[in-house]
Amino acid sequence: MQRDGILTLEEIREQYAGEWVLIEYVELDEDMQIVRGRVLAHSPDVEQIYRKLPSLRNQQVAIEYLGQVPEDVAVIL
Amino acid sequence: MKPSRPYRLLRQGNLLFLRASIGAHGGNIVNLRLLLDTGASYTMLPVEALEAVGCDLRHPLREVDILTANGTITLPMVRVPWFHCLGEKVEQWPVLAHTLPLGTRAFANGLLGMDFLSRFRATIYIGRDEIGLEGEPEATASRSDFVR
Repeated sequence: MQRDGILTLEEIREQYAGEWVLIEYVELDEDMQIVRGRVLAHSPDVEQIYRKLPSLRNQQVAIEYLGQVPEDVAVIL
Repeated sequence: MKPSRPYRLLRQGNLLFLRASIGAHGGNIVNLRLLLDTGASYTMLPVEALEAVGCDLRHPLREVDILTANGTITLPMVRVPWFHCLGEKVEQWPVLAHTLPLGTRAFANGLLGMDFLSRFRATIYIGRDEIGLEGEPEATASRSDFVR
């Protein structure tokens, strides 16, 4: 971990596995996946992450899910 | 027109995900996890993220009736200042505003729908978990709401 709190996505994934995270990113790759950033919030409930969005001030953030689609959930939209 | 380079999709089970960003000029940028959904007419993004980039949901472009497995719902359509996905950045892109009501069982922030996929003539490579875009037909590429 760097002193300024910037982590790689893999480091974030290790710390917050299975959760939603709000990341102030400093780098995305060509597929717009997060490479590095600072975790601003984390929760198993994405609605807790959404509640942080109104406090943003000219920031670039990413909302990432670090879990798997639940095996007992099927999607028909 | 040459196809774009293929972009990587994230597969979980039978579902494919990708990332997109929305932003306001000189304001916030929010990068989201979207479900690739060829069964959705329109791209759908969470209300909270749209508000974070300045969209006014009290004054939508229009309201759209959406047929779902559980019936019909009416959702506001708003324009995001810009929408960036798969290498294409579009200004004033219309999207549906709706937060998927999944709580702790959520796994996506929204849907990338056929509006975007059709406009840029997407090809989805299921076996490789990739997607490519041919780009817009020349007739529409000069429209003022399109930037690269």
